[in-house]
Amino acid sequence: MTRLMDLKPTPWGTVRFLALLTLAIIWTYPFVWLVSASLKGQLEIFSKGLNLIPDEFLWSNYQRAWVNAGFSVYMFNTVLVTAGTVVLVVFHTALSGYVLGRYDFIGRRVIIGILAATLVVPVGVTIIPIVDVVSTLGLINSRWGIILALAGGAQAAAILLYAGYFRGLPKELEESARLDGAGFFRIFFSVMLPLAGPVTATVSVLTFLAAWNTFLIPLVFTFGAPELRTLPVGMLAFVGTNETDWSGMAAAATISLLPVVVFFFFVQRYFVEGVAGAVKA
Amino acid sequence: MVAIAIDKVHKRFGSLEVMSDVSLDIPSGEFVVFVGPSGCGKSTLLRMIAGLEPISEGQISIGGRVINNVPAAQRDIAMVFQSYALYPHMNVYDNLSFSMKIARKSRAERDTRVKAAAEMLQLTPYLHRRPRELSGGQRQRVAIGRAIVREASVFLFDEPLSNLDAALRVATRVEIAKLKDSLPETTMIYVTHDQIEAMTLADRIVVLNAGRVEQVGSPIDLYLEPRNLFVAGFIGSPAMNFLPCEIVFGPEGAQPKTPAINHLNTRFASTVHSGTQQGTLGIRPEALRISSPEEALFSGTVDLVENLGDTTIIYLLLADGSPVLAKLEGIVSMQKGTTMHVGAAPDNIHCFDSNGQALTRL
Repeated sequence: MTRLMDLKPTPWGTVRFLALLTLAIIWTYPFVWLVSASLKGQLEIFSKGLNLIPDEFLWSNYQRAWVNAGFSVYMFNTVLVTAGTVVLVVFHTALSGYVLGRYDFIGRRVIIGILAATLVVPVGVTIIPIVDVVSTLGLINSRWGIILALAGGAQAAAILLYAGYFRGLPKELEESARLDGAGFFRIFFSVMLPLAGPVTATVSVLTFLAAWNTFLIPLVFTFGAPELRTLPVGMLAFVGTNETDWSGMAAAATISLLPVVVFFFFVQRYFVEGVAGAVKA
Repeated sequence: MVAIAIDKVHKRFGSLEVMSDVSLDIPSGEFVVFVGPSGCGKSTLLRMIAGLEPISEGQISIGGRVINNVPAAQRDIAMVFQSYALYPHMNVYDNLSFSMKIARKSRAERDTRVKAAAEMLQLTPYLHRRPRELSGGQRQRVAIGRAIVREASVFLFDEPLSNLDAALRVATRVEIAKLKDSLPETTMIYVTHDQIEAMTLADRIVVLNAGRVEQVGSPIDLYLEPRNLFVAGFIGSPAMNFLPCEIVFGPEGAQPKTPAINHLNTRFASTVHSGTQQGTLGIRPEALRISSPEEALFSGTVDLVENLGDTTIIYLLLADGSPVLAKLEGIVSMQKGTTMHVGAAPDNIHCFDSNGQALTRL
C-alpha cells in the first residue's frame, strides 16, 4: 500500500488510466445492464433506458426462470454436456496433437493443412452431415449426441496448440520413459500429457466457453426432447408468439453467465499463459 | 564373461553411413569409455546398444542374447542422459520409482530400492522435491539414481557431465568413479568428448573417429602408445606436437629425419626394407625439457608463455616456422623472443608413417 501511495501519477499515466477506465465501463456496461434488467419489472426495463437502479428488486424473475421456465434442468443439462465435451475434446485433441507433433510420418503436413482449413468452415455448413451421422448412430435426442457433435469436430485449434507444444518437449523424456518400460499410452498419459498442463488448461477453457454458450447444435438435437435443452436453447422459451418475457430472460441469462464468469475468474491465468506459450512454441 | 558383444555393426541414415564395421567385446563389470570428436558416432553407438536407434547391419548381444530386435526396456540396461531427462512433473521419489511402478514391483520393494539409492547418492533430503527445485549436480544424481534402482546389468552414460559447471563436473566425476567401485558387477559404458573424464574413469577407452574405431586400450596404453596420428593427437592435453619428417627405411630399422631436429637417435621398426617416405614425428608437450644447446633436440623462439601455477606452457616457433608447445612443471620465467633449447627422452618420441600409422620404437 505504502508503495502504491508513494507513486506519483504522471500526466500520461493519468490519461492512460482514464482511457482504460472508460473502455472498461463501456465493456462491462451491457453485462451490468443485463443484471439490473433481471431485477426490474417488464415495463421498467424499457421505460428506464440506461438507468441501472431498479425501483424495486424483483427477485421473483429469478424464481420464474429457475423453476417455471425449467432453468434448473437446463443448467444440469448444460453442466453435463459441457463437462463431457471438455473431457472428450482434451482426450482426442491431445492424442492427435501428440502424434502430429512428435511423429514424422508421410502425409503429416497434409493432415495439418486439412486441419487448418477446417478452421474457416462455419458450424452452420456442417450441421446437416453432423445430424445425419449422429442420427445414424441413434444418438439424436440424447445428451451423448450433443456431446459427440460438439467434441467430434476437427477442433483444429486445440490439436495445433497441442502439436506445437509437444513438438517443443525434449525427446529424451520419451526415450527415458521407453527405457523405463513405458509403452505409447503410458508415455502419453504419465509423462507427456501432464507436461502439457498449460495447453490442457487453455483448451479446457476455450472448449468450456464454446460448449457452454453453443446454441445451434443443442437446438437442432433437442427439437424432439425439450427436457434435454441447454441454457442458451432454454432462453428461447421466454420468447412467445405475442410477447417476450424480457425480465425473465434477463434473469435466465444472468444465471447462464454466472458460472462462466466465476470459472473464467479462476482460470484466466492458465488461459493467458497457455495462449502465450502456444504462440511462443 | 562378455557382457556386450558388438559385431560388425553399421549404421546408416539413408545413404549416409555414419558407423562402419564396428566390432568390440566388453567384458562383464568393465568401465568402457567411448571418446571422440563431435559427430564421430559415439552417441549413435551407445543409442544402438540402448535400443533407441535401429542397427542397420551387424549385431549387438547383451549377456549372450542378440538384442537387435529386443525393445529398449527389455535389454537389461539403464541409461543416464546428458540432459538428465527427469520427469519435471514428478518429485524425486516418483522419478526414481517410475520404472519399478511400470514393472509392477510392490510398494515395499519400490520404497526399499528408492531409499537405498537415495542414501547412496545423498538424495534422501530431496525425495519430495521436483527437479526444478534441485541444482544441476543434484539433478544429475537423480538421473544416476534412476539407473541404480533398476538394478540393470549395464549402465549407459551419454555425456552425463556436459551440462555441469567445471567444479561440479569434477565432483560428479569422482562420484561416478565411486559408484563404479560400489557396483563391481555392473558393466558401464560412458560416452564423452572430454578426454580427462575418459582417462580418469575408464578401464578401457574406445577412440572413435568418423564412425570407425581407431584404437581400444587402457588409458595409459593409449597415452603412451597411440596406434595412429588421430589417437596421438586426440589423447593428451595439450595435444601432441607433430613435425613433418622424412623416414629412411633400412635393414636396421626406420630413421626419421627432419631439419628441425638436431640429434635424433631414436630408431623404429621398419615396415619396408628400403626407401624413404614422408612421415610425422610426435612429441608430447609434457615430454619436453629445457636442456643445454649441445643436448637439445631443437631450439625455438618463445612466442607466448602461459603460467598456470603448477605448470607453464610455452609456445615455441622453430626455425622453419613450425609451432611447438612445451609443458614444463612449476613456474618458468621466460621472455617472449628469447631462444629456448629443449630436449626429450628417446622413449617419448613417436613416429608415424605416411598413412598416419605408428611405427614401433626399437
